[in-house]
Amino acid sequence: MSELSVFWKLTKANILMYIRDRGAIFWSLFFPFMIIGIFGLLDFGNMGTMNIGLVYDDTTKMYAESLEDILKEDQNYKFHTGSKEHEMNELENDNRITVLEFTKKDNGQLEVKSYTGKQNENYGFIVTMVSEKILLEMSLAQQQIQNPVVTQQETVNTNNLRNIDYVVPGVIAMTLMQGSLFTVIGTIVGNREKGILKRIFATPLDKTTFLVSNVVSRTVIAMMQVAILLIVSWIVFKIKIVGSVPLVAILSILGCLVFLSMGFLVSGIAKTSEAARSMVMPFQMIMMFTGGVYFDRSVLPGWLYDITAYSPLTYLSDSLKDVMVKGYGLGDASVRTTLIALSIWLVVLIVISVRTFKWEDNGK
Amino acid sequence: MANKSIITVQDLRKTYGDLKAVDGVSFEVYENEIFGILGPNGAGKTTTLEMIEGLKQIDEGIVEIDGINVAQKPEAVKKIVGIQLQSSAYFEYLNITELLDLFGTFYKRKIDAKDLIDKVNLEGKEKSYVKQLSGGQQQRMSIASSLVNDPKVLFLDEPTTGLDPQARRSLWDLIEEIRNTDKKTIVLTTHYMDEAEQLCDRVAIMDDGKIITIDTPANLIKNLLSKGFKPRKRKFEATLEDVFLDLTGKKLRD
Repeated sequence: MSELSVFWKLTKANILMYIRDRGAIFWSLFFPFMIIGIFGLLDFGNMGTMNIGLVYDDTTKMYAESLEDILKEDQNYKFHTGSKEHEMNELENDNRITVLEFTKKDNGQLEVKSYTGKQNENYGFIVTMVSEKILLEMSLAQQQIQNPVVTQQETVNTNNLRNIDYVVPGVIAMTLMQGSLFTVIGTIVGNREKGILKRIFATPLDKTTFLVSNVVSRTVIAMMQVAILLIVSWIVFKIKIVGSVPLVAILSILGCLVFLSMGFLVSGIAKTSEAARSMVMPFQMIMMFTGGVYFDRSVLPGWLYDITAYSPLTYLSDSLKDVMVKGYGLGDASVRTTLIALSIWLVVLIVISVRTFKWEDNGK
Repeated sequence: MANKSIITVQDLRKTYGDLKAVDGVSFEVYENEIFGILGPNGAGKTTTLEMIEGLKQIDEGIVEIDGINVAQKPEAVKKIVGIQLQSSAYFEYLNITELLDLFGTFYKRKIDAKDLIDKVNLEGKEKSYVKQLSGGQQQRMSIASSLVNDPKVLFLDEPTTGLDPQARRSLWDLIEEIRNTDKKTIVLTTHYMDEAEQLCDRVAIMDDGKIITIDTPANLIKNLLSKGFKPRKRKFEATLEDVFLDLTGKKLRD
């Protein structure tokens, strides 16, 4: 029997053990799906329904209703009619984005005043401009004057990205990080604590074979997780990968290896799995919240943005987004930068963990 | 029994800081014997055993098993010994057949797991996980795993600690069978004197990292009596354990 067949049998056993650990499988998929689900259902990217209050009297009723007729075809607009006092009250309570007040001036001119809360200034502006255009066209048509300006809007097929499209790559990056970190801690620190490592190394099993086998089986498992996440996201949310699938796989594998080596580093330093978990927790939290997994990194303060740009999770999630959503490829500098940066991380982490790594706990 | 030695230990030492855990231990183990290392907790039994097995660094001294120097060729030694650790833990999600196969693989051997399982009386447990086994069954599984490489020497560290009388007796039978049928040499540690008396051909008694005496149990008892020792009179010819086994039977409960 060759060393290679020892390696294969151990790798098969590792994967088998993982598949039998129902709890681990459930939690490793439950959390990512929960995040994707929340973002998918809420779709924060959509601005949601725009509630518009209309205030008019008998003389201006015609204009207001015509405007409503035209705009309500767009389901994003929802109209409410009421007294000025009532509508302004609703505006103050954030139940209206804009209130439009229609009055007829003494000279017969139609005056439309729009009221908008400070935070919705942009939306208010759009609504006001749209209203003005529609009303102007109406009055031109009444006077049988041809509108000198014709604008025409055409929908062009773009990638048509929704927030969920950005969330899935981020969640994949996060899953790779968590899965890799905690599996290594379980395999090394956990099995060291339980005495399993001591027992298996009482046999002639080669330590390198053991390590490589664990890295390979963990990577295989991570790829299965990524595949499940992608397939379910595709079925449920119609997420598509714009860029190259092999490139997504390469990025995922590289990311997985970086986080595995990070796990080995921690496993060398921490004596107990409890200690290892506590050691890892703050780092993975920081990486997760600054890595663009949940929200765009541009909201971060400048210094934090700059520092966390070098985090492996940031590189990974940025490039997964670029490839999956924007269709970037190896020709794009940002993707190449990520591949190089992750490789540097990998080498540095391996060099450090080789120095700090301990197979046995020398406590006793 | 031809007293051909298979293990020689010379002036073995291990120090942790100021503590001399093993302080100049020398002895020989003969082929096909059951050799016991006795002593209270903390006497240095496990440390001695683990240095002999090559699991712990030897600070000073020489250990040879079947002519192989342990410190120089730990990998070669690993191939000819079987080891049962004091607390044996195995992968949680492999059943015992798969575990034994995997351990065989570690020795680059293709083994007949069923055969080993039958040998240690675990028939019917082929598909069980270790955690589903009772204490006695786990010890027998542990012995099976240390037999996968058909070792010349089997090391058992406190094999019966924590077992009920039935399980202990069944394990004694198994250990004797491995010696008698498979012709293996067995080195075990224990702090049960009845176990040593029943099972071991020779015993070494350790305390404070040193071996105080080595001999057969019968000789050790004779020496003590010849020094004028008066044994505490037994009230009865039988013990409470005999009563217990008579009432509950010798059948294994696990």
